[in-house]
Amino acid sequence: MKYFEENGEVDRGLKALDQKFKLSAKEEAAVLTAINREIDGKVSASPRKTSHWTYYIASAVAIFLLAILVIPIFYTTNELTTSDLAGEMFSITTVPIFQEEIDDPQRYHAIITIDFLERHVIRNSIYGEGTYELLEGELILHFSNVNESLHITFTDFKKSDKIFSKYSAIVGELEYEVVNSEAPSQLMNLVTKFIQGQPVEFMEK
Amino acid sequence: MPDPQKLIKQRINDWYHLYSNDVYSYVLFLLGDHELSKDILQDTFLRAYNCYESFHGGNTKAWLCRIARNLTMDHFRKKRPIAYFFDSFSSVYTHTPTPEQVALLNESERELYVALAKLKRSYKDVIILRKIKEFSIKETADILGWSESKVKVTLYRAMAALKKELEKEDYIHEIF
Repeated sequence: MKYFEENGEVDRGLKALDQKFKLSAKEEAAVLTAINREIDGKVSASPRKTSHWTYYIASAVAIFLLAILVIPIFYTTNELTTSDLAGEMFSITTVPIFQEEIDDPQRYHAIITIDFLERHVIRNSIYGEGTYELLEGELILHFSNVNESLHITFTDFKKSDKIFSKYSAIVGELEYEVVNSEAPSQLMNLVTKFIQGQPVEFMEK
Repeated sequence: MPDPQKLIKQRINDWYHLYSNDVYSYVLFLLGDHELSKDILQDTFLRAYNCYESFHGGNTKAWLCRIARNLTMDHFRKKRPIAYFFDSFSSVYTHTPTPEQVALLNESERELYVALAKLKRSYKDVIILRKIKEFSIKETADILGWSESKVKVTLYRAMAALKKELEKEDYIHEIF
């Protein structure tokens, strides 16, 4: 048994391979006929001996499996709706900075307590009534009075992984508008309580 | 005045007589499937007919091989996207040339064919074009859309990989 040693021998072998794979005269003629037929427009599509039905079945199965995987995720992500919050009262709390305090509910300090009512209404003892909307993982609270308007957006609003909290979220955009800045402000105090990017917990009262 | 479409058709027919086996065997080396290679051969000449205006002279065989390669890649992307992503023709196709073709191969050639089929796509590409089809470095670079230096480097590595495969298989060399 003699092993390959020189590239030149393999080169010769590779060149020789080229001569070994040829179409038979019959097949060559058949393909040319099909080409000319197609060119002449006598057939709209080239004949195919390769069956593609297996690919269609495989595609259908893949789509089905994908649907099975995706639908529960879809429902999970859309599980929370505005009606889920109605009738509940939550303290929106800060999250402790130190890791060792993260499981201690006493270390979560309330920023505001809000009563979520029917028909998208929220109520707070200091800031009065406002509205809320929960859409695609974002909770938006809106308080307003004759002089001011405040939208607080909580992103990544989802079920909390902590046993003492129901939901968790991240403080998103804070949109504060004032008509007369000279007039006494009610909502500015609330604006200063939230910091964009701050994680918060929604603990049931 | 002669119909230009008829002239193009005649040119395609002439090219077919000259290069059909080259294109067929090129695709067969890439895919290892006789029937599929015939389909792609047919599509290659139809594409050549439809895109005749884009041919600006030069090496016709190289131009046809470039079309054939693009169609092969298209086919592979559509039908075997995952395997294409993982760059493994060999794991998908079972390398089934016709029994008559296999019968024509001696033992060394068969081992060489099998070793080649086991290589990754880029290695196979460059060996087929440079060593089997004997295209120049420039033509190979044009067909593959690579730089000439990439062709040289990849060929060097591809031949080393082929040698390794052959040694793994206890390649018996005979007089070709």
